[in-house]
Amino acid sequence: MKSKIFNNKTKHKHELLYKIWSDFSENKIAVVALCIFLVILFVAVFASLISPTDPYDLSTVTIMNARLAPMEEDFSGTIYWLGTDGAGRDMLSAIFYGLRISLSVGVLSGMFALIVGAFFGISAAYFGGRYETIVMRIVDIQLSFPSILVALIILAAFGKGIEKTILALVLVQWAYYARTARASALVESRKEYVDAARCLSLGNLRIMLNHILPNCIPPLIVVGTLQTAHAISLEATLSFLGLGLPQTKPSLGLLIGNGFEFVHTGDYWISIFPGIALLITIVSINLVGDQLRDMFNPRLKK
Amino acid sequence: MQNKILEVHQLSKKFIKSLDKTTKVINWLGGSYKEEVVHAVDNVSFDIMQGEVVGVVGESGCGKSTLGRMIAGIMPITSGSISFKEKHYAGFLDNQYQQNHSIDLKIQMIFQDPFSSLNPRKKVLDIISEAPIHHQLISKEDKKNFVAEMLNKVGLNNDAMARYPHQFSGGQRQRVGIARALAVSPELVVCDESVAALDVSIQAQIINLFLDLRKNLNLTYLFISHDMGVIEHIADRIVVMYLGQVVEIAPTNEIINRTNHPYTKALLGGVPTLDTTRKMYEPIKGEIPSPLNPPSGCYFHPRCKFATEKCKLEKPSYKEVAPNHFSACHLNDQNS
Amino acid sequence: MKPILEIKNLKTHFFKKEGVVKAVDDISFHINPGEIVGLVGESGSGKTITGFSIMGLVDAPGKIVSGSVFFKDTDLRNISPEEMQNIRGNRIAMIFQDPMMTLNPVLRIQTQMMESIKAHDKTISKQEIYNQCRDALGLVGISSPDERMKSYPHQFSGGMRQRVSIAIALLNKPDLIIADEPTTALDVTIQGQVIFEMQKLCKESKTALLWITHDLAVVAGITDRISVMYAGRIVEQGSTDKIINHPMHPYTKGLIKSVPSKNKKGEKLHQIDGMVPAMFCLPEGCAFEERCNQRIEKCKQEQPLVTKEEDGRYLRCFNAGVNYAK
Repeated sequence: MKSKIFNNKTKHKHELLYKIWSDFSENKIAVVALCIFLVILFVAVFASLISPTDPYDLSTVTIMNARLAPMEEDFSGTIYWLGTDGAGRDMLSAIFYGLRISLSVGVLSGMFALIVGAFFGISAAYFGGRYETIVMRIVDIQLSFPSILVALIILAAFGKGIEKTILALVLVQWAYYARTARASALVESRKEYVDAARCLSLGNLRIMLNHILPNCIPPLIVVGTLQTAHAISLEATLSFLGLGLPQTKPSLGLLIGNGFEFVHTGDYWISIFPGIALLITIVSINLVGDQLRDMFNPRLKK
Repeated sequence: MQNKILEVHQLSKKFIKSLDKTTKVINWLGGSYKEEVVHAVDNVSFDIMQGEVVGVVGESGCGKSTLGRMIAGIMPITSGSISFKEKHYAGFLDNQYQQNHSIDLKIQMIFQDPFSSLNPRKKVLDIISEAPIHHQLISKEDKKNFVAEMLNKVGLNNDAMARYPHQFSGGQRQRVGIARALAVSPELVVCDESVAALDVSIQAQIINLFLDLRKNLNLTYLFISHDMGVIEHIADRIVVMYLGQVVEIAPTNEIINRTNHPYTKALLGGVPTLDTTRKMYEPIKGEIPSPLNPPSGCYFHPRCKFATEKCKLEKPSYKEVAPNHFSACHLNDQNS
Repeated sequence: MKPILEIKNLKTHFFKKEGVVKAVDDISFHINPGEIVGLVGESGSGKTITGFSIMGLVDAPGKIVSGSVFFKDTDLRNISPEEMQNIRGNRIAMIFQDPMMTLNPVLRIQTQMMESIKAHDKTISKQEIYNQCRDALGLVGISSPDERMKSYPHQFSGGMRQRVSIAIALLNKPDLIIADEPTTALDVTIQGQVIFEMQKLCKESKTALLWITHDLAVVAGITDRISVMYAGRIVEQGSTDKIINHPMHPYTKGLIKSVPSKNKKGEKLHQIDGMVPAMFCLPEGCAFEERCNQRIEKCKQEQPLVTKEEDGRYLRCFNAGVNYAK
């Protein structure tokens, strides 16, 4: 007699997505954080369309508008919601463009770091032996240095610029991904379906990519979100110190840095508003990442 | 008469925990730390004939799982040889990696844990068809029909194809695992505790499935289990292992009716049966020794009712005590 | 003789997002002092939850919905947590399948055992406690107990750990021990030892024992009575001899016939087709109906109630009386 399929009733076509959403939405704060982040993402992507002005278009910027306080008008009647900076650029627009830069650098470096980290982590766990020991020692050594220090050393060696900054961020972050990937891959490699794949002579590369990697994705997503926040924060620090991105593409960190000199004279808005934007971005990503981590932790399941 | 399909000759597997640098230095300075060696499988030899079901039975630490994995080619051997249909392949030796695809696919394995033996992220369709497509045994267009055929053979519906493992019960997952193994048309199937994790009523279904497949597809089985009851039912010949060594090999009814080795007797005696009149067990004393520190002489002597002085000192020789019935026990020397 | 444990119409349900799982759905049985009773069922039958319900160990989202659990004269459902704490480990003890559920890996055996006694009797001296623990280890067959007391759980093998769990269970001389698959994870030769010891100890100290397992063969030899569970209900209950040798319920019959030793070698085993129904969608009628070879029309529509047969056994079946060819 043929066995019946166990669970015939699937309520939704995309059962898995539905389940993920329903678990995620148990934490209302995380849902709010996710909404905020989506707004930020929207702003970053469509910055050029929704900004009131283009702060880097030299034809529209004039020093006459410099250091206007928030909600002040200039002589032509335009209201600057968040004021202007020392060169007359609209803060709101600058923040929108800054968000775009900050997010792109953070996300891009995170993605590359994930690829590199996952590659080394999974292969270390799968092959074991001396290779694993060497890779993991390098990871341990790197992780024992503060990330800002590692980034500074790399930038000092390679110079400034957007590609070099991304490279520095990747080189800082890959170790976190490698460690997480290896922990996950160690567990998966011992499972019987990997033995079955080897029994079926499927080849090592195929097994690592096709069998082990997909099962390591949940913890990597968690690390990914939290690390992206970390990367954005790190980039902001570097730019604040004047070592990261160039002036032509100011991220939020650079805006904060530029506005720092004006704080003493009372023109707080040039530094504080980009700072708040940065804070909201990082906090919302962290809250989403925390909830993802709790969701994927089987011990917390009721 | 049937042909020999598998020959295992003096197969051994050693796990060595070598000394780290610190301990080596201590040794050099006069310490006496030894390497820890576990003889998981120690000098095992036997043959399997085509169409036979050979059962391997033993308790924890006897090495039966390790033996199965070496035969299936997923664990390197330390010494000895394994030949499939006269072609020496030896899985792969510890330091050399030899892989012969055509032989590898002929020996497949069914695993114990239905929950971890299937990739949770793959659909059943992909689980079963991945290997045949990779090895170009079937084409991508034939995928669905082929998988439908395999599912049919193991007693599952076609709509199992689109599902993920977590949507099935333990018994059904085992069936998927069996279909996956059958997809590459193996000749020898190693079953490593394949029914141990299943409920009794499902166990019966899967055992029946094994028997059917053997008949229909002309398969040969190496059936590894700790459950003597299951082995008695399904196996033609039984290999009894203790702490990595073979203690007795004989056809099933010989083992049951003319048991030779004291350990086999203890194993058979300890099996709970549906006998309501049996009110007291006669257990054997002692624990199973640690494989790191096996007893001297005959490994079983500390727990054996019939142990003599000789048993403590010398390893018993492995001899034929009746036609096709081999055993390793000093008591046999006295009788002959 | 008044039963030491009496369960009446117990229902334990789990309230999950996907629906309600009726893990234990209206079961009743009793255990007399000094008796050994077997509770047999496969996975999903609810036997483990029954054990947990008695001990009050059912956590959210599970809840005992209705029914009573009378231990001697007290309804365990109606007492305060402190009173339950007094009974647990003291008057009713539990042994789990995995001894590491009882043993704390970072504490010495000695510490754990002594703690167990101290928790329930604050008056005895430390030396006296130590002696009792050492004697208990000796009773379960652990040699050189003084040395062993100082060891940690990881220094013991699986069989020894289980024996330590049994020793801990016996320390306070409980009236009832609930053993949930105590020997399933052990090797055959060790299993024999442990079964033998538990049997001996319970008979000697007149402790009642509830042996929960999926293995009919294990309970056949040592129990006085057996209850068979399926999908949260007890389908047949009676003396061991009757249940094993003259089963009436089709599930019990099927279970016994599926055991390899009851079948002719080499031939196909008797099997029960199909599988346990998914717990979220139990059918209206008898849960076993789909797989039953003795089913009639009524079975699909109504759930059979418990009936008492002439030979004293309890049965949940509309059609068990007739003798079918095996």
